[in-house]
Amino acid sequence: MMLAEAFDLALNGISRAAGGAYRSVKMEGVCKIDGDVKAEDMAVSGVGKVYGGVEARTFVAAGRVTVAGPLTADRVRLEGQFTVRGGLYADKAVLDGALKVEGNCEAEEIVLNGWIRVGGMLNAGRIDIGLIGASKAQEIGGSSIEVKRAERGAWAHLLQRVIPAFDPALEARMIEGDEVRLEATAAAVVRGDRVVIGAGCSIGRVEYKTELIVHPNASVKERVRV
Amino acid sequence: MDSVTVFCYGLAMEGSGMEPELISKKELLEITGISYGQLYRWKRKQLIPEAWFIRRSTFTGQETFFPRELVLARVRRILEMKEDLSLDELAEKFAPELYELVWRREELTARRIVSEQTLGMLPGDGAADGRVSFRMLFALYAAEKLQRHERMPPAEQRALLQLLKAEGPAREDEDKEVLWVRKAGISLFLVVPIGGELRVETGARLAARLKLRDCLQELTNKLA
Repeated sequence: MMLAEAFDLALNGISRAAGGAYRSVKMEGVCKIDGDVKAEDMAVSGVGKVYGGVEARTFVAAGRVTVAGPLTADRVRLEGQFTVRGGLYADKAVLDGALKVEGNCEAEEIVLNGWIRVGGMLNAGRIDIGLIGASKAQEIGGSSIEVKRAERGAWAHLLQRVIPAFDPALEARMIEGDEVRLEATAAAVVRGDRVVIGAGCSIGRVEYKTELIVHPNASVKERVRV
Repeated sequence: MDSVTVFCYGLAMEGSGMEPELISKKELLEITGISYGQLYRWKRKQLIPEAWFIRRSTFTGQETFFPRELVLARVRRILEMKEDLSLDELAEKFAPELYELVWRREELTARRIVSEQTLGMLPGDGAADGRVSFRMLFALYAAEKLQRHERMPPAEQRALLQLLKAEGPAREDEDKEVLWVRKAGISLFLVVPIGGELRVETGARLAARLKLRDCLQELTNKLA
């Protein structure tokens, strides 16, 4: 994206601005943008709201941030509580905190520590989720999918405040990938080439090709080798 | 001529309409040898359109199906072209959707998509520069199919072509058909939503009918 002619936008304190194309956008404090934003780099901290979609090369949010439209960015870095209403489309997304996506969440790589809720489909080449809260996604698909309980690091402690339920679990209707490793996950169907069903999982049906490993502390109703 | 009137009406019925043949995701992976990772990747890159993912509940839970011919042809093409192109380049290749393409007359006849005779239906001296838009091609293709069993006078062919061109290729979510009704040597063409029961008055008869979505699918398969 080349926005050579565009201006920078900097919002501070309690402020409001119009959408548009900018070179860089910085929002600090309690800020709102009233439309679609196009920017090379966008950083939001504090309480930020965009009443539109965002298209950027990099998007960094810390605090409580909401995007009303779709968010499309190469790199996404989120800390805190983030809501996007029109889907999230990224190359690489790294998140610590609570992520709520209405619509689909697509990326080549997603690394998340915390709580996630995806209304549609979570589709990424590599999905790495460290669960803290009770998360949910309709469908999860990708090449490598790993879901585990987050290690009780500094984050877990901090995130208790922003994450609704503190019982690490993931609920999904369908999970499909080449390499699937799950922990604390409840799903109706899991399909994959190599599948590891770890502790605390409750799966209706597993279809696998090469290998299936089930932890003694997990329940799988039906196992099918295809 | 003008005094001939044809009455017909359709009764909307639910749940009918023909489906294209479907293939389950499992079967697709098995036949083509691709992995979940590849399939999801291509979906992200929009090499396989979202609209082709058809979700159905089955006794084993939620399953995804695809239009069989379309998806198999697409996967084959992706696999063939992947050797020398990146996925993004590939996506661009598929991006100018069929609708935007223009076809050469010679190519259409050489590939037996429509006959020389059908191309003769083109208004004026046909496409003067020997090129046919997808919209027009769809109209031609449908017209050819419609008059497969019965000859249609040239004046009526033109009227049909005009109607089909105005109607345009059906969208995926729309199910319409074109009807050819004849009475006393006069033809009437109608485009109606599918799934209705059709009655025509005595003396008139339904010469042919054609589902536009199936027709579009057939055509895109041939062009792929």
